[in-house]
Amino acid sequence: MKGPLVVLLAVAAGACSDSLDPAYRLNKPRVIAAEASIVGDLENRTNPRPGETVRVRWRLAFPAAPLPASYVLLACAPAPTAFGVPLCADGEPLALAAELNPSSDAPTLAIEVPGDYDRSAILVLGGICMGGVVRTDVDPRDAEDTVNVCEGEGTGQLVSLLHPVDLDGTQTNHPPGVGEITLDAEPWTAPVPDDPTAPCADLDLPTFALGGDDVALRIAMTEGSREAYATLEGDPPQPGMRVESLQNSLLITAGELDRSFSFIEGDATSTGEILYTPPSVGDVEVPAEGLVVKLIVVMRDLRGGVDVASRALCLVP
Amino acid sequence: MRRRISPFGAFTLWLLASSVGAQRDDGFPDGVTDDRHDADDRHDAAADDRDAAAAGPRITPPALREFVEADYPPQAEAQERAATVELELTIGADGRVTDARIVRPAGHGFDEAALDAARRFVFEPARRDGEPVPVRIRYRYVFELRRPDPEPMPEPQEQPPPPGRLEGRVLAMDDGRPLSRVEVVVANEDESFARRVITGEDGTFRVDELPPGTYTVRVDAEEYGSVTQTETVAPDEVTAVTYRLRILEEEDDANAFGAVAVIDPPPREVVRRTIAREALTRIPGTRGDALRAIELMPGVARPPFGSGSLIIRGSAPGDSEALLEGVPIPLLYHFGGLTSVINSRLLERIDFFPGNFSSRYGRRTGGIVEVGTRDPLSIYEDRAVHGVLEFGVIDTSLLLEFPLGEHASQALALRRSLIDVVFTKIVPEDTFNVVAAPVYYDYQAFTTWRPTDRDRFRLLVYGASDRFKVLIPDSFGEDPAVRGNVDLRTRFNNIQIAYDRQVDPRTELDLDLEGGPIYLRFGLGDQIGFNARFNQLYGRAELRHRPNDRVRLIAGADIFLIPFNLEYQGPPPRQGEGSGPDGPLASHDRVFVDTRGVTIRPGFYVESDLRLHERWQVLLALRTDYAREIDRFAFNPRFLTTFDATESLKLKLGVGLYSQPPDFQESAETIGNPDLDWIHSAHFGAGFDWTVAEGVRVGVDGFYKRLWDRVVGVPGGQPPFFTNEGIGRIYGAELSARIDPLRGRRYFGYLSYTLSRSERRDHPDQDTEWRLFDFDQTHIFTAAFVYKLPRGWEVGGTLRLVSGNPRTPIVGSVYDAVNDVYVPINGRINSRRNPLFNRLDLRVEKKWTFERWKLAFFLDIQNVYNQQNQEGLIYNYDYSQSTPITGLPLIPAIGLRGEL
Repeated sequence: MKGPLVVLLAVAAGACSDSLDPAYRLNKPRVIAAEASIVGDLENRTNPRPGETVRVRWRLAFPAAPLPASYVLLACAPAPTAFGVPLCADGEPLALAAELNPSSDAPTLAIEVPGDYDRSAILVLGGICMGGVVRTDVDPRDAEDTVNVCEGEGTGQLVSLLHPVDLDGTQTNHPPGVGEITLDAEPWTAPVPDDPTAPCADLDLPTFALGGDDVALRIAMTEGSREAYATLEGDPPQPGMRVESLQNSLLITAGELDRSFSFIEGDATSTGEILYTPPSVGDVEVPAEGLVVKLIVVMRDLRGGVDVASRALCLVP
Repeated sequence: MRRRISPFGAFTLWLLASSVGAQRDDGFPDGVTDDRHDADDRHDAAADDRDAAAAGPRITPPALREFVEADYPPQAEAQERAATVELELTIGADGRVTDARIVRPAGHGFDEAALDAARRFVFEPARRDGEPVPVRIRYRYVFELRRPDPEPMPEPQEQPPPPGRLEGRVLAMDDGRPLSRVEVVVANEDESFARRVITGEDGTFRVDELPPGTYTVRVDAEEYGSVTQTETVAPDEVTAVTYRLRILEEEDDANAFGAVAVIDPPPREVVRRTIAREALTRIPGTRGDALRAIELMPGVARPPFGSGSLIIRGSAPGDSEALLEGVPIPLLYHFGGLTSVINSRLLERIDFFPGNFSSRYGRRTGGIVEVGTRDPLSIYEDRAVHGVLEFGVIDTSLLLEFPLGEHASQALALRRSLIDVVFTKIVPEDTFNVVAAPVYYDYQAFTTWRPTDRDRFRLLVYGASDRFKVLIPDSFGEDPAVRGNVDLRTRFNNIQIAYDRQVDPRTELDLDLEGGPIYLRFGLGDQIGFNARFNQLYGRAELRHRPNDRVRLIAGADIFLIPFNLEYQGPPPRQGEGSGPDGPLASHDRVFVDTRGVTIRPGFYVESDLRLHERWQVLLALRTDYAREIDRFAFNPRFLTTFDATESLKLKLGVGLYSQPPDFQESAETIGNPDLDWIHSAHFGAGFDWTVAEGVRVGVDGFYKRLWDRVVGVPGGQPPFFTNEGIGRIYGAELSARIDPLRGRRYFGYLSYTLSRSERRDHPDQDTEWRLFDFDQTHIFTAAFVYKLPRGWEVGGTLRLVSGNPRTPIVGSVYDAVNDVYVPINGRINSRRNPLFNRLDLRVEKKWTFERWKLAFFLDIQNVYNQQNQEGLIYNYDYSQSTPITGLPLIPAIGLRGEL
């Protein structure tokens, strides 16, 4: 089978790709998550039932100050596909939202799930242009050359979300919660300043010098973040139960992390140690008053639940 | 010891074709008796058993009238080798030998010498009822070093003359360099007295206490040949001599232990390319691994990363097959191409059929590689045991072979990798958490038993194991699903029993049966799990009969019987080729398969090989196969014709149909489509072979292959998952030139160039376009050359220039917000191409020959100038950046080899 070879090559290639930006490096505007919430729900559920309206809010991240964004988003029933770019099935879209003028509001799409909806998921497709105007004629299936999402300037990204629908009440889900984050075994609570480009030496932030030693950070979850859920696996499919594994995606604006993802699974309630290496002298220009470094953690339960947290530290020469 | 000197030709004659029956059109008697004559009766062998046939016509076997003494191969003689060469002679009605071929070779120059002599034999012809008739007989030509009973030394005279002394030096003629460790034999005129000494480091020797007289002095220096001089020793005097030896154009014996002849049977294929054993282990860049030499053959594409895949004439790796003694090998290479699983020194030859192959081979639409093993050391060799111990940085191996009585022989071989010893030194500690370093081993135990001269049993027990395990802590790289244990294991243990019988001089029967378990396992955390066990049972029976000299008929049947047990969880199987980059594992669905069953694939084939004219041969064949998993038959007629335009120029043409069942995952229920049909292809081939000079051949072949019913994936990976809606076309031309290693030739080499194009079209009913095949390589140029230098040195180089493989550009990505990964957007499939691949490999070997053993040091360097050949592109997390993935860097392999 092709799978093992592909994975081995991916592992091997991953070990020799130092010249490429890693996923944790936040050096350009990025779409980092889609948060779903049920309109009018008091239980903080993420997965809509037929007849409910789910609001999907796209979270963006920027290396410096936030940029206004424009977008086109569309919700539909997904066409059956096992791999590749997701596609809509034939039929009318479930919802459509567009903001063609760059705005500071987060791209958002509200989807009313029809009462007779019988698919296990809804698909959201779209394009988001950060710092520019989004194009409305992008069709990735016809792509022959580089896909451009923005008209001219801006950083564009095609996005997709295959969001579960709780058809029969067995896929009820709640978002996980990012708990305590420790840095060098100390609680790290410092939020990102309103103006992340401002000097930070005088702020109450953990401070590191260029070329400093590695430091370990650890991410904990809030209580109850890992839910048990029903599964149907095997050949022939057998009902079973699993407990969620929480995937933590890490992004940072300067310095190195030893991984882009870290999991909370098994009996754990927090990640293992993640090493942060401050940038070396010459890697980044740091003013004498200090440079704010942003860390963003996106915690996913991989069943539609997301939580985003951010912290800041100050880098000094 | 009396060394002699002239070869003694004893022989044993078996009459194989001299019995009762009607005269056939070709003039040969029909039917057989098998009478064996004693060696001492050689000059009147025909006198015996003349009354063997009690009924029917009176048959008189041929009697040897003029025996021709063969030239004893000088080097073999110097090494005191003895041998027996078994020949098949065709004796005309006039008593002359009209044809001679080797049946059981002995190597070391004996075969050529025996053939040369036997062709000049003159017989009293065989007779039927008194009328001379042509016959074919077996003849055993025995080369012996004469060792007569020692004669008593003459009684000392009452006053013998005082002895003298012979002393001298042996020097190289070209530069006057002293030759050490050279054997000098001093014998008197009647050879009743001889002394043997070895020259010292300064090339000097000395023989004291020589009775006065005339002596024959024979100097044997392996690579300088030998010289014989007559010297006179006077009483109480010193006779000083200097011998200067010139480098001899000697036979290479570096790897030619045992037989060397490759006997070409009548062709059953349009193109059959053979790598003879003399060259198998000496080709640069292969680390002495014979099976890796296949990559040098015309029509063979370069596999990426040296993966060992067989990509033959633009066919997918799975479309071609490797066989060991006619039986498919479960695994050809360790770790996808590192080293083959069979000790190269057990191989007799490698036959490569890039297309239009015989009906003997089925269930494949690409090409065939058949590996033939040699018989282990027999009692007819002049040593009790042969052993090779080889140490390299990659692995170490041991080979032992020895006779088991008069009729049987045994070979044992074992190899184990040494990678685990050095792995932790190569891989940075912070890259992986290594649980178990890569380890592989393989073993072979081959036994040959010839209870009679017409029966041959072979028992081949062989197997291999590969294991590699690393722990990827948390997550690694940009795919969050790639974490956990990576565990790769393959293992197989096979037993093959082969029985060949010469039923009569015109009929041969081959039976093969092989069975054994095959385990495959791959795991990646809880994302991918693949566990498979196949208990493969394979059988083949083939009967070949020649009703006369112009016709050969072949009928055969083979069957695969494979009970299997397979568990799989992971991404759904995709179309094996032409699907473009997959994207991150995290974005894939997961499927679960837990299945067991029995795959049954019987096949039947017949061939008729007709010699319509002295120069024109036609082969018609039909093969029928059945695959139980899809419950369908395949019928494949094949046609081949050859025409000998001149003695050195052969023209050939072939057309045939070839069918192949879908891969397991393509036809398996749950993840595949059991309603698939066979994959079909038509092969068209034409070309010529021109023997320019002895051992120098040039060939040109053109080919066209049409594929239909190719298995392609359903877009989106939805049921029925796969259909037969793919077609393909492959066309091109191959130029090959080869200089074979011959006795007296200090060099050999291969040169090949392939120009081809391999295209596919998936779902043509949907107005899709033709695209390039994943491994299409427009130009494939390979040149390999090996030269033997004096003093045991050998150097060689292999140069490869190959078009880069096609690749599919990634033009963008879609952010998958569920898994936080990016799904690539592929551009046109295989619309770009990697840059030209170029690589030079060098090999240097130095061999020392001692009295009873040999020692060799070798250095095999792959990619001498460390070319950074691009194998593809690797992308960053969102596919906005890319950098080339380069192939293997400069890899030196150093080793020592000791040989008994």
